[in-house]
Amino acid sequence: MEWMLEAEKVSYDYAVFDENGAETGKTRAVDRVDLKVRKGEFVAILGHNGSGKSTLARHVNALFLPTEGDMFVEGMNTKDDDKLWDIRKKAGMVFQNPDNQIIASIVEEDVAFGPENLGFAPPKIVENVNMGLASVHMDEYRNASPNKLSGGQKQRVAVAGILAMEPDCIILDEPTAMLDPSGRREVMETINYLNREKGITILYITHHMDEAAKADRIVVMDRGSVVLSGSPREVFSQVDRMKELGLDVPQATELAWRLRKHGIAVRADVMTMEEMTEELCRLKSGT
Amino acid sequence: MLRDITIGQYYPVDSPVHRLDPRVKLAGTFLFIISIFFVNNAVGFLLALAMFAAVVKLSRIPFSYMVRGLKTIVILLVFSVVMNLFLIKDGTVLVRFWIITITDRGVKNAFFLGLRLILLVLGSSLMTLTTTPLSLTDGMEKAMRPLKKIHIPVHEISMMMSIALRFIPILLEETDKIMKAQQARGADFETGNLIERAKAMVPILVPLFISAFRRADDLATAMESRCYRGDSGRTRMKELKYTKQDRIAYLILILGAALLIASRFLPLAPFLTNTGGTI
Repeated sequence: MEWMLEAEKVSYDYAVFDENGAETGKTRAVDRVDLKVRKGEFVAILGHNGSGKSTLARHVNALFLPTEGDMFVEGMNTKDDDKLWDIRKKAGMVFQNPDNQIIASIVEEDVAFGPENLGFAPPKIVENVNMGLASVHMDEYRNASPNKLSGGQKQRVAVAGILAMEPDCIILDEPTAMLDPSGRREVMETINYLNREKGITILYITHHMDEAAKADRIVVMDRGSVVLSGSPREVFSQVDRMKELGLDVPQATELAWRLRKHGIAVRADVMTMEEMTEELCRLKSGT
Repeated sequence: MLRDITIGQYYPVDSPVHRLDPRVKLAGTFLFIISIFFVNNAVGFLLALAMFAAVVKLSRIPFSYMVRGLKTIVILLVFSVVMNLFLIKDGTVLVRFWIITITDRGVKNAFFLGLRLILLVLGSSLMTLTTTPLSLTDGMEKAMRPLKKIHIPVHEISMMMSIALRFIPILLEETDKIMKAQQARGADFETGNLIERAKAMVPILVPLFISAFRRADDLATAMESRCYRGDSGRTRMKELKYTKQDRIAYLILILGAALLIASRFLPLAPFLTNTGGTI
């Protein structure tokens, strides 16, 4: 099968409660989303708070079941109770807060938590833990306490814990939101490595434009729906539309956009500072 | 002050004590605690201290690090020592001053009680310092497995305990953070009488509880997404197995406990023993 994930008209309603706990209505967090992700693809989902991107991500892991529509993970419907554990094994999830997803007090034991739940044989667990820790370059911390690690290191441990379950796909729900710039870089490098070298499908939820720019494809969500989709270049070149949605574009793209507004003919799909420099040099030599 | 609690904090070094099976250490701690209650004379206490010191030495945990764990029980310690000192009226009177009477029995009782409390706390913190919480709960789970037959949720209890242990330092840190944030806005935790200070703690507890619930919710989601489904079909990376060292340790422990209990029956001069009321 070619598709890792298929969302077919997925909708999800949250119940709204008043102060006394009585249900007063429903809010539609995800609204008829169609999304297909190929195996080995790196897809970033952008959107500001409340756009439904996290809710959608939780559908992939069958933490939420669609109110309407269907979500398929490698052809398995998340509504199928018998497939629940297969789905969660195939599609691992990394969450925002590094502290709240580490279960054990020793790095190694935390990484082993997933494979232990799956009932792997002890030698196989050890092998997977070694592999997971090596992939995120955390081997030397295997006996450390998670409390002594930096935010970026904790997130890498969380990723290792997922890797040890041998997933085909990893969903990351704003993994860098609580990290400092160096922690963000560490996590991004790990993700890129897993995608490029191990061929793991990545679904990356973020609101950092520079992180999304590294993806194969960007999906922009607003008020529960997919509003833009395409390669980073295609998406970011629509600066006006992005601003309308309350989102930014990478700095270089923003600069190109402003220059174009003043009638300077640079390319609209500039994404990095290097490309911008090239464009400016070309302009200068051209005139 | 909040960072000084060492209970539930693993001290990661490699030592013969660290390598022991958690069940041995659990049994050892229980034996030690029980024998401490049997000890009622100076020889016994010296013996207990010597044995404890030997194990600490073997565990390679710095003594100063161990003692830090005592800070939390200072108040309890002082309170019970003082109570014993002043409230025990029988025996030979040593000092009589105003309404205070100190008798030889009171002094002895206070001294032995203090020692006993210190040994109890140090003994149990030695276990948590040398055993990772997860292997500790592993040990408990395995040791209590027979109880499963009478429908006691052994696995769930041990999982809850290991999670509690994991979150103690995190919640302490958070309490510290909330206190500092409130102090920055003029909250006062240091002055006033006990009631006023207790009242000042309420605004700390509310955000702390809310955050603890949120963390619990997050953690439950994370565990579920990592295929946690209780005990069913779960294997362990490190299956617990007794080794030769563990068997030797058991022998030493039983011998030590027997010695401590036997010390009670030593024919000693009365000033070395404490036969009065024990708490």
